[in-house]
Amino acid sequence: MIEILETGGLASVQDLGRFAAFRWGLGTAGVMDPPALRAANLLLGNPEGAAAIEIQLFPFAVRFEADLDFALTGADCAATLDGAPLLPWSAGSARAGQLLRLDLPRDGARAGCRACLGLRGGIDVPIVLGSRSTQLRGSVGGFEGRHLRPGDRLPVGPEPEAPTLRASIVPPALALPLEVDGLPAVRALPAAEHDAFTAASGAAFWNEPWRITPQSDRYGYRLAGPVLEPETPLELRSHGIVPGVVQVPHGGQPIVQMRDGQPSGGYPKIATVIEADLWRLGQMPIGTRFRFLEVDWEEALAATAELESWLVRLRRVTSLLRARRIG
Amino acid sequence: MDAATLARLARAMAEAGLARLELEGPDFALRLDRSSPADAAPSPVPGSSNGDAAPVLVRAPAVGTFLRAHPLHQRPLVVPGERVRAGESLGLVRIGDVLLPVPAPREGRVVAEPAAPGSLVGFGDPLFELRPCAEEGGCGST
Amino acid sequence: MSVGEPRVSPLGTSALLFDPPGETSLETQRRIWALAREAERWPELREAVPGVNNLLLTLERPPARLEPLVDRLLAAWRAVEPLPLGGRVFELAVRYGGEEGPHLADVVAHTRLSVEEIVARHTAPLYPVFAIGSHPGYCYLGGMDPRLSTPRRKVPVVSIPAGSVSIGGGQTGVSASAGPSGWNTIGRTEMVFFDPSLDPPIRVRPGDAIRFRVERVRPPIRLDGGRP
Repeated sequence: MIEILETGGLASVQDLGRFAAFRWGLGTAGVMDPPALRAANLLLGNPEGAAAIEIQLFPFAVRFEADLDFALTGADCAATLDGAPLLPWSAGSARAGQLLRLDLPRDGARAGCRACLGLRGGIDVPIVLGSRSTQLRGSVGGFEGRHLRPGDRLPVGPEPEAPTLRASIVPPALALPLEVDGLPAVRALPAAEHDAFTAASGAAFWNEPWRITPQSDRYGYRLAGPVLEPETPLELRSHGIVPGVVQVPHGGQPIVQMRDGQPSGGYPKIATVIEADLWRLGQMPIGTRFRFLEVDWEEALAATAELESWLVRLRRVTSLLRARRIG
Repeated sequence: MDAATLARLARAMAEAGLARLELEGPDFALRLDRSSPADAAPSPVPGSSNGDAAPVLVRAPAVGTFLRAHPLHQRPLVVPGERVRAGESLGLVRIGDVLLPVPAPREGRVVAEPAAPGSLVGFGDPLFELRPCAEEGGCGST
Repeated sequence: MSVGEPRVSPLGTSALLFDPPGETSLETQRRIWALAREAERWPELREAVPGVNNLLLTLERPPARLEPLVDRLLAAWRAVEPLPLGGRVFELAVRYGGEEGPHLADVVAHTRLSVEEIVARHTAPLYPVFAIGSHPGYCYLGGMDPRLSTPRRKVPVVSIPAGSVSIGGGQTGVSASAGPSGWNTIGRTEMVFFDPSLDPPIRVRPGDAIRFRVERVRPPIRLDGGRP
């Protein structure tokens, strides 16, 4: 059990997401940085999809009510355990009564903006409609279907068999860097209405930098850049959409659908950020300038395979290192 | 499980700097122990005892690349002369994308760093020389 | 009958959108329901979720090539018989206009209809529930009088309350919970659409129908001093 002592707000319990509830009007929710969740759970010996706390605003502090191993990945946020600094992307052991504190992430493109706090055994909130992720609209899953507040006490599940690996991980931002013209980038596939935009708009979308505006959150990232215009105004029938879809409302400034985004839309879709790169966007703080990189289906699959093979190598090395004699 | 597989596992253990490997399948259980000349545990530096607490060598816990700083950071975890607490990470050994911390075996002061940052180190290679604090204030300011 | 092949396009690597051409119709929707029932049995798909005359297909994992799956969908589309989902009728009492229908003025301005005529046209049809989407339990309804069509708002509203009755393009609907919306809110009603303790967690399903009844009408309010 841990107790939330301090939160800047918007921290929530998330797992990889809710992937079979579109039929009832629920989006996926889930962590904004799935590789960070998987890495935390790999270190802890948990199933990779075990629920953790996603922290978006700092400072954030928890007290351990019992001895418990934890892992902190995602944003590099100068974490300390009873004042002793912790390595980023690492697992550690807390004793009962110790205090874990996270501060503002460092500046810099690789520092990230969302931290993932995993606990050994995973956060044991009920599975609702297939997931422990917090779905805010409708108050489903997570801890009482809402953001965490000071005084909340979160239970952990039974300990896994594999021991915790007290190690750190080289984050994918370093292991799998992606930049275009010196700016961070995400790969995207053209979507259904891509060719309904003017040629100039299409070119601007792929060739100009986009800035993440302050109106950006887990629901969606509102971007600022050149105005994108369809050849003729489009009114589409409502249809299902998924995280990563880039819609262009009438104002011509795109919105990227993120994890808490609604599962359907009707604005023209110019592109979709591929699943394998959504974590990159999820770790870009407000104000970041970035580029979209157009890929085709084969290139998108190659990117998926690249992320998957990073995970496969991580699983292999962590399990080999676990087999070492301890002490 | 045939001899070739065992040989391959043993090679993989050596490459990864593993002292023991345990595998379990539906119909087998296997444990391989590799006897190593030097353990990762700290060992006194011979001939350096002069009444004070003898410096200890902190050795590489595995084969890998020795790093003084986390790849996300510029600043080294410790610099020579710095006093450290028991358990504090002095450096890191990188194996693939996993970084094994090299913890201080006891409280003390870092007096030397025999390994070059970025170099490939072997299991048991000395990475840090630490002058322990025999008693309260034993390695205080010089 | 619609002419031309449906368009199947990827939504990144995690889903496909199946979009048949033609005017929105209940007949097409019945075929969509039938295709969804067929496709959700395919192991490569997680879900087959009807939209309004279209179908979202979420992928277990992206296939090496899309063409075989696309061809299979098109073949299944040609083969399916419309599925006549028989359903219940839910009657909802609506308070039109006033603070609870803050965008009624915009609908008046766009349609050039009087408030009375808008309310009469909005309460006339039996609206079939085409699909569930947008947010938990939300029903996409067919059957709105095309004269009531009003474009979605240029800037979506940060939050409209549960029970808001609104018009977006050629569609109308009722918010199942408070949240952001790009639609024009014309009134409010009371109804629980979603309850995660139920199985299934939604009360109104595709194939059911909704009828709106007037509880009261208040004059439209003007936001920001008038029409944008």
